[in-house]
Amino acid sequence: MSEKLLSIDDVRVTFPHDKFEKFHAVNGVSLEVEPGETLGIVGESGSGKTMLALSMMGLVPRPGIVDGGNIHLLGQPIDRLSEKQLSTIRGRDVGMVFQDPMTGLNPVRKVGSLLIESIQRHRSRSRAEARDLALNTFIEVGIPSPEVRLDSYPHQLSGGLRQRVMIALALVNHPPLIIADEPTTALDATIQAQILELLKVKLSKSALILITHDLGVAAEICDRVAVMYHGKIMELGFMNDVLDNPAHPYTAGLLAAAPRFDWNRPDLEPIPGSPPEAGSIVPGCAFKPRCGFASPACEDAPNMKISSYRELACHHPLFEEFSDGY
Amino acid sequence: MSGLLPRLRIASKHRRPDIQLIIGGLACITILILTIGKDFFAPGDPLSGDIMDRFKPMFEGKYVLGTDQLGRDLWTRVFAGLPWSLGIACVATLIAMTVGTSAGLIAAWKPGPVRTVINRMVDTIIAFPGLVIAICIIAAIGRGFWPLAITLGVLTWPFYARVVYAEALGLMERNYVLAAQLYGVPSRWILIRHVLPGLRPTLLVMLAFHFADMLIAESALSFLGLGAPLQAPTWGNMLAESRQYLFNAPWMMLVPAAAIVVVVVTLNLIGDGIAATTRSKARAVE
Amino acid sequence: MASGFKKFGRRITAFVVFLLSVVTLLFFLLQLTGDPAEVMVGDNATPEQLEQVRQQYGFDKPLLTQYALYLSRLAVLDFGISFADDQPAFGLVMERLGPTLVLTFLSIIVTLFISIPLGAWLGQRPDANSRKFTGAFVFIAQGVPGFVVGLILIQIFSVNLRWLPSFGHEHPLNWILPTLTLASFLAPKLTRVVAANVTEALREDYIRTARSFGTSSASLLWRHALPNALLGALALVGAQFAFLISGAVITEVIFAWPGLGWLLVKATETLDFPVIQAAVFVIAILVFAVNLCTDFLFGVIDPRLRGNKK
Repeated sequence: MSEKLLSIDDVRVTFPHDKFEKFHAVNGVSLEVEPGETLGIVGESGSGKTMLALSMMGLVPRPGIVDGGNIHLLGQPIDRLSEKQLSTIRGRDVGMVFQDPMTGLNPVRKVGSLLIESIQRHRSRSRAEARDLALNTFIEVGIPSPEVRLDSYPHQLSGGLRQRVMIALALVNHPPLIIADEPTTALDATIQAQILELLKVKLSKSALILITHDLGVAAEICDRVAVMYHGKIMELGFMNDVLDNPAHPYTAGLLAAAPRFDWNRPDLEPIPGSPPEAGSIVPGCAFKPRCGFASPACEDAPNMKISSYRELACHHPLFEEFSDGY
Repeated sequence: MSGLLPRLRIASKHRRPDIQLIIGGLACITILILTIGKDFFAPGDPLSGDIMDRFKPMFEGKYVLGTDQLGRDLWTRVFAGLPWSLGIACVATLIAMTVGTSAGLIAAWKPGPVRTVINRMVDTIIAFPGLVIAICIIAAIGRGFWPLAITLGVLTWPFYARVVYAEALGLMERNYVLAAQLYGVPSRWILIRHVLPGLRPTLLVMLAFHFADMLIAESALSFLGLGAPLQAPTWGNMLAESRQYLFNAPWMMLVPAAAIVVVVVTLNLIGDGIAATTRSKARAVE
Repeated sequence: MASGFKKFGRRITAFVVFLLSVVTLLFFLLQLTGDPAEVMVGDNATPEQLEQVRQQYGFDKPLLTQYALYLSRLAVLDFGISFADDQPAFGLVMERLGPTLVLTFLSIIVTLFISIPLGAWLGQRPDANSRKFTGAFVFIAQGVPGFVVGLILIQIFSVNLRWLPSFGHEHPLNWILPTLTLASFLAPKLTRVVAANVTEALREDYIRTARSFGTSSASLLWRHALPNALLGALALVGAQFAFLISGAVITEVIFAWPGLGWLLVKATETLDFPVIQAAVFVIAILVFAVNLCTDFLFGVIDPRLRGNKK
């Protein structure tokens, strides 16, 4: 257990709600992250991937709670620590890059001062030393004229630069785990590529969890990928394997629907139907109504089948090896 | 994450009047009943008193709220102040609201010299301390109900105008107004039938707070000797008179003070209550 | 910078228009009182005395001429001689400006000292019972007019406890009650605005970012949320300055604080028009100057307005 960097076991995240009794954002997710690996979590909006990410840092916004399961980061039980204890861990053991750099930076603070604050919070350094470290981090993430930029305000920076600042903020203290939630979605395509490249190269020593709705983006930099649907993981495995041989009908559907120049898909085939209402509890397999392979067995929620390199939640995997188990 | 969370904050989808509105509303109705039934609740002459009974403290004997330096019953006097204070505030508010709303609508209707002139007037009047001008005007034209009410109304219409102007501009961007214009509906009609109803919640809130402000302004001016005729039993006058006797008879100050505070807090509750109710109605529609 | 000058120029023109309207209004108010000569000399004057006064002050000339003369005198700050005091009105008014400024600015400082911490505390956890309870107090305090607060303070601290004097302004102890009274005009509202701004700031995304790198709750409030919340608070103080002057007038009367407001009210009792006109004129300039300063301050403090995009 303690060798794993991050270990999540059957985590649920819920919100109080008047329509249903509870809004279920995450419905029982288990995964593990090894030091240094890059894991992608791919899912549509409403699949719960953001809430899952936030729960890993104890940042689930009120009134939401982690309603079940365990989260262990470097052996520490994240879901059971106080805010004060968590504030020591955040920024030091784990860092997060958020989606929208426009609103994610304080408009009345110089961006350098945020990094300096983080450095002085977690390591005892003088202000001058902290400033040097911040400068180095700016150089690392490829911000031009870094000396000058330390004293810039967010409104003086372009979107791409702002996102680099957010990344700098997440890795300035070299945490062993970085979580990036849709880090490129708000950016132009050319900048997207640069940022992804940055993440791939700079985070070779840290583990990275990349949250995205875009399987292609995940394919660029992730070693392993987990496919999420309606609050649960449907499939989890090595990136290339999953791309070449998807085992879950949903994963196959995603691949068929994704326009990509480098894969061999002659026609786009959207997945018929739409996802169940966000937050609801669906008996059995949540994907059943849209699945071409559904059968009466799918009325019961499928258990995770685990092989040596893949995890799967399906009664009808797309290739045989799973039917017999491991 | 963006789409999910706002929905979760809706407490209920029906419009439920905010608690402040309920409390404020009940208090307001009570005050109105007391005002209208003044002769029933507080018979007796507020202007004369038994000099032998001067400075009687509260809750002793037959004078529930005590007497003042001339032996006048404070209970009767405080009731006598109601119609005066509420009356002036009413008239001033009505003047300010009608003039201000019209000015705001006219200014919002289309750009041009009229809009510029109105906006300049509004900026000019709002920038200056109102009490100072009011003092000068009352000094020049004399005291009394109507001078006070009209002066206060004339000095405060810009507050309505400014808010109405801004909101009307926004409302006029909406499609139903553009549609009406295309249909050739005359402008006066559009303003009155289409834009004005959209302003109703804001105007109601402003009304409540403005009424309270007018009440306070009237008492302040009377306190300074520039409002009601000097012998009239208004709360401002009572406060002014009480200054000399704070040592002997503190209740002379407390009674009118409490009356003012109660009415103002009631109005503030109503104002906040309306604001909260219309806000939650807007959210429930989502 | 050219745009800065243009804006300044527009401000000055607006101010001149403003000043002109105020001054004209005052002129016509004087005319409204009936016969100004009678006002000056009193009811027992003989017709000769009245005629002499009229000639001396030019009340016998046609209206427009009087107006022109009036404006020309104003341009050199000649407001005439005070009816009550026989001294130049402008000089009298300027003497009184100092105490008013002291009172007003002291009150602003006290208000900020009360409202900012209290507002921050209230805005941080608006749903907690302690906050709701205190918030109700602040709400009621907002409903107590400033001059009532003044009277109550006098009652408690001068009359009952005998700790503090209730009039005059020689000794610093005299300064406490008037300052607190004037502060009460603005403090409740400012507290609520700060609280609302803090609550809103704490909901913004940049707070989540700060939490994500481990900022403590105290730092979140003071170093991340409050700087944003205070922008709105500063705007309120600037916008409410005129209201504060009105409050200063009443406060000065209550505490016999020898400032502009006290002088103005005294002058209205005797219809001492030179003094009234001079006082209103100086107040107008004061309000304009403060608004200008607030706008300037705003431009300096809010980094987004500093206007140098790199």
